Formats: sequence, C-alpha cells, structure tokens
Amino acid sequence: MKLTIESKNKVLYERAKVISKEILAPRAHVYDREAKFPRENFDDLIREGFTCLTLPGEYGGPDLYSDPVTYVMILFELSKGCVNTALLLHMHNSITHFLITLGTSDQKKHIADLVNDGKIIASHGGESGTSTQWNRKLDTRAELVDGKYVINGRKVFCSMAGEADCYTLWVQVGDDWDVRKSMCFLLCPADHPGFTIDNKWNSYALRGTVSHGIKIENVDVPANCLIGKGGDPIRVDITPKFGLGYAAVYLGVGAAAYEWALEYSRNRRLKPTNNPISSYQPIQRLLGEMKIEMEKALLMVQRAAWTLQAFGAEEAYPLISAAKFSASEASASITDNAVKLAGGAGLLEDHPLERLHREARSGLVMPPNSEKCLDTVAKSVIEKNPEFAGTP
Amino acid sequence: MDFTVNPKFRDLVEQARMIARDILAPRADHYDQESEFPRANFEDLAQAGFTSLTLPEHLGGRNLFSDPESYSLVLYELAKGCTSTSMLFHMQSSIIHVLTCILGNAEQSERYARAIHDGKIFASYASESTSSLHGTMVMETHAARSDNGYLISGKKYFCSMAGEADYIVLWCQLEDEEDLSKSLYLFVVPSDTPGIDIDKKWNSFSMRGTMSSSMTFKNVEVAENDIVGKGGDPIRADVLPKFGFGYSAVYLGAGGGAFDWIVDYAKKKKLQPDNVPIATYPPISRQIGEMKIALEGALLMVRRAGWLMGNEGAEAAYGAINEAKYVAAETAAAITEKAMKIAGGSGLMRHFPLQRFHRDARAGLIMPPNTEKCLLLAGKIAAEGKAGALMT
Repeated sequence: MKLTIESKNKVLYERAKVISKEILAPRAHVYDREAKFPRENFDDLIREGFTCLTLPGEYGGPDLYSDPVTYVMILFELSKGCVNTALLLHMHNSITHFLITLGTSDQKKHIADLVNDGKIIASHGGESGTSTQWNRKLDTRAELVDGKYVINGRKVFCSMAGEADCYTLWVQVGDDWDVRKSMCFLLCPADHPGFTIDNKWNSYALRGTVSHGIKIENVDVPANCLIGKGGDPIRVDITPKFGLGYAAVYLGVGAAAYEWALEYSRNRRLKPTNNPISSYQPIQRLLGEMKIEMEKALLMVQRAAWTLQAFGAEEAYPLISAAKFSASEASASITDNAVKLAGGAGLLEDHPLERLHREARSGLVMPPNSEKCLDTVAKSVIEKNPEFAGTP
Repeated sequence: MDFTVNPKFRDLVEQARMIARDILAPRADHYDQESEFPRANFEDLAQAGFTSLTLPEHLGGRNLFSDPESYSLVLYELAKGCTSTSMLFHMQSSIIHVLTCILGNAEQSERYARAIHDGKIFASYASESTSSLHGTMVMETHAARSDNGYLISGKKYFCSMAGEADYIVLWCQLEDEEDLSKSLYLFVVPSDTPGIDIDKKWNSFSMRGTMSSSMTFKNVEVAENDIVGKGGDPIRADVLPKFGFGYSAVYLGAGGGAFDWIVDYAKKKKLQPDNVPIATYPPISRQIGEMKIALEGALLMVRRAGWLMGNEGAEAAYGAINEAKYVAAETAAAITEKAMKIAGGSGLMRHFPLQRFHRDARAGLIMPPNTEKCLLLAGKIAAEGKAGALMT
C-alpha cells in the first residue's frame, strides 16, 4: 500500500486546491441562491486549462482519465469550493473523454478543437420514468433522413441546459428496442432552433447546475455527429466513470463541511470559560465521527480510482459503486453532524453549512443512487469473485 | 497510490488465510465453548514459523512489525478463523517485537528470541482495576529493589493466557516514583516463579479462549537482567499504540469471518416454495452490499493506520490508529448484528460460528482504547491539527 499521490499531474491537483479556495468558494453561495450557471467559474477554469483535463496528449491535454486517482482528487478539491462547478466540470470532462475515445480520427480532432476553443460540452441521458437498461423504447429517438439524423423527444435533468455549447444526447437510433444496440451518442450544437428549454429548474440542491428539461423537435444534425456505435453510452467502461467522479464530487461537500466545523470549533469560544469549543469532549466526539467517516470514504474513492487504472473499468465497477455509496452517505452524515456542531447558525440562509447540507442530499439520489450502489456491490459479491482488487 | 499488499510479506498474509481456514476455524468452537487456551493452535503457529515473525531478521524472524500494514493483514486473516487465537498471537507477537526490536539489549533480545524459537509463549500484563496508564499515580503493581534484582507485588487484571504462557511481561512501577513516564518498566518473569497466583475466574461472554483471569504477585523475584528498557518506555509513543492498532485488525476479523459465513449461508439457503437462494432477495442482498462496503472501508482504515505508522512513525499515526480502532470495532459489531438478522434462528445456534463472532465482536467495542475513547482522541487530535490526515 502507498497512500501518497505521486503523479506527473500533481501540479494540477495542487492548482485545483488554490482555484477551489480562491476562485470557486467565494462565489458558491451566489450561484446557489440565484440558481445560476457558474459562468465566471467556467471562464476561469477554461483559462486555467481545466476544461481540457481529459484531452489526450496529442491534442494538448494531460489525458487525466489515464490517471484517475489524480482526476478524482482534483474533483474532490474543486468540490470543496463549489460542488455545482465541480459536478459540471466533471460532466464536461467525462463526456469529452468518451467522445474522443469513441470517435473516428476526424471526430476526435473536431471535438478536441471545440474543447481547446473553450467550448463546453454537456451530456444529456436522463428520461422521465425510464432507466437506461434493457429493451424499451426511449423517448428520444433519431431517424436517418437524407444523410442527416433527425432527433425528436424529451430529456430531463439536462445540466447546463441553455449554457453549454454542445449537447451530447443519448438517443435511440432506428427501430431496435435493445438499448445495447440502439442507444447512441449524438453531438448536437446547442443553438439548434429545435431545442426548447423548459426553464423549470428550481431545486433544493445543486441549484447552479441549471438542469432544466429540454424538448427536442426535429433537431437535424449531419451523420458524422453520431459518435461511436450503438450501445456505447451504457458500456461498462463508460457509464461507471461518471459515477466515480460523482463520488469524489459529493465527498467534497462533506469535506467542506468537516473543514468548516474544524475551523469553527477551534475559534468559537463560549463564556465564561473562553476556551475554544474544540476542547469540549462532546464536540471532540462529533469531530472524531466526522473525521473517520471522511477518511474512510476518501480511501474508498481513491481505491476505486486506483482499481480503474490498475485493472480496468469492469473490475472497478463494484468498487465505484462502493465508493459512491460511501462518499454520499458520508457527506450526508458529516453535514448533519456539522449542523449539530454549529447550532442554530448552521440553519440560516447564506450560511455555508445550510448550503452544504442541502447539496449533500443530492449525492444520495444522483445515479447510481445509494440503493442501486448497494445492489451492484451485493451482486458482485454473490455472483462473482467477492474480493475487491488489492485485497490479499 | 497503490493498494496492493506489500510483496515482501504477501506470502505471510496468504499463509495466514490458509491457516485460519484449515487449522483455526475447525477448532474455534471448541476453545470458545470450553473456554480453553488454544494450545494446539499455538503449536501449529510455531511450526509454521508464525510465532517468530516479529523477531528481527538477525534473530531468525521476519521483522514483520517493520510493516505494520502487513502485520495487521496477518492478524485480520487469522481472526477470521479464530478471534481468540489471533488476539493472543498479536499479544505475543507485539510484546516480542517490543522486547527484541525496540527496548531489549542485545543479550536480552537473543535470550528471548531463543525462547520463542523453543516454542515458549510470552504474555503481557498491564491492566489494573481502576487506573489508566497515564499521568502520575501509584500503581497497584510495583517493584522493589532486592539483593539479586527486584521483588514484585501487586495485582493485574485481564491477564490473557494466565496459567498458560511461559513468560509474563509485567508492566509495573518502580517504588518511590509516581510519575509513570519515569517509573513504568517492563519485567520479564518466568511464569513458574514462586509468588504468582491465578484466580481462575475467567468466564466471559466473549473471547473465551483468551483465558484472561486475574493474577496476584507477592514478592515475586525478578533477576536484574530481566528488567527491559528504561523508565517510561512502555508508554512511549512507538510502543503503546501498536497494541491498540493490532486489536483493530483482530476485531475486524470477527466481522470478516461473520461476513464470509453469512454470504455463504445466503447463497445456499433456499426457502420453499421459492427455488432461489435468499441472497437474491433484495432486502437481503442490499444488506450484503452494506456489509461488504463497511468491511472494505474499515479494512482500508486499518491498513492506512499501519501504512502511516510504518512510514511516519507511531506518533504521527496516533490519530489514524484511533480512527482505525473505532471503525474496525464498530464495523465488526454492526456486521455481526446484521448477519444475525439475515441468518434468523440459525444465527443463534451454537453449532454455527456466527454467534461466536457476534459475541467476540462485542469485546472489540470495549477493549482499550474503547470506541468512545477513540472518538474523543480522533476529534481532539484533529482539532489540534495533528491528525496526520492525507486529505490536505
């Protein structure tokens, strides 16, 4: 075992800490309160090169998906400052990585050019009342007409709706209902007039992600906008990578709450003793619980990332689910404890804990949700080798 | 980052797993029911070379405590077979490490190493009824200078292997000095020395095979060359925390043993009229997922504490050791509880090992440092900024 991060990309990780603290954190409450896309953050992240994190070396990027440990640690650090921004950045970087991995050489170059030009790519897979598994008819479908794909349908939870430059739609092409054959990525320019955004996003948490619903009517794109082949979006080496990043992002919420609580309890003094409350045993007990949850979940996230790198996505799949479960449950419990520690102040609007507590709730439900994670881990234990990678 | 087991000791971890499965597990019920010292296990462990693992290499050992992470994995694997044996093995191995690698002079180290190679068993007795090992106080057990060495009198509690070990390593205070950091010494006493009495009252709910009766010492003569180290050495930062660290691995092993058993049970058990194993029932499979994630997270916390201790020393790892002990003991308690609910009435049956793991895991919660103490220390150390955290 070795728990130090030794990577040529470590400089990016160190930079992420600074960006998080100096750039993202001061703005976080504004995007949250106004449910506004963190445009200024993205401008800064583009300038810092952080929207190119997953571009391969030949296109000028550090190809961070070949170094998943550093990748998730960067997300973790950014999320401490602003979970909305970290989550959206992860979506952009991950879909960029998938499209470039799956595309033809012309497509690769086109996507890299877009990203290098500061364009933001969104990924829209969610549909109401359906899952992305098994045989069924998707709401969003495309037909090839005169050399163009014509897309119709509806997507929900479309993060960065109206803000991203391109939408990557998860679309069923043709008449085959088997999504393992028919579900495809279609990269569409966001300014196509066939997109109608419902502007109804008014959420309790993750308000800055502006995840409106989108109606898609006769959006026609050239045939070369289809990237990869049928079934690619739900491949085991594709979809779980989103989940790994979510784990790191949601754990960042808990880490921010823990660090806030630590700082607060060191400085908060109550009369008449005037000792910092961190010297009170009930407070130490709470801090201890939070710290332990934090460290354990962080190890689970790092271990899943390491497994992805060392053994590949299939091997890492149950570990990613275990990490996602650990991270989101840990953040939910840490933010609960932090509010207890802060007392009534933690519930006031614009208090950082009030926001972090809300954000942590979304970790529990975002796919793969906690119950789904348990199911995946259980199946790996029951059906396959029960040992996780790295176990003696 | 790397989560693989240290290749230098990997063979031992694998061998421990085999020994636990083939030798310890089949006998565990007997030692538990009869509350009997697992002598045959110790003979087999000696034969396999395990009792000399923590001796330095020049004295025929593997210096296994040079990598506490690997050491903890050996304990964990052994405990999955028999918690009592793993605990006693840890007590002997860690006190032998202290005597021969840290505190003993060359002559002493050689002499004690020879005894170990001869199959002799060493116990270590520190506990007293109402006192802690900190600060300034008069211990019940104290040593007075005599013509040939020392005369020890007093009483010790929870003396594991009482009446079974060949040598007793006594933690006691030199008379006329109340500051434990100056007056606490280790004395190595052959157990057949006159003046030693055992109350034989050990009849415990759990860890029954450890035979931890109380002992009284009345003018027990100890030779001059069997006082080890100097005053305060036993509570030095690089000595004391190693005991608690090992406990975390041992008790987590009770959880690991229970987990392996219940998964196997749930995969085989079918209820009429369904012809599918109960492991496939969602309420049960989700609990298997929960247990697996908890177990993996706790094991990582134990390994992390060991890794920190090996790389940065026991003092820097002190916070992590307390975190590990807490999470290991709580996890083993929770897993054995869950497993019992899944097993139904079978879980209560004496002929299944689950009830034994369940009882043994309760001891993990209270054995020093108990879980409340661990939480307080973890929080206190974090508040003081000395946690050795990897997060920052």
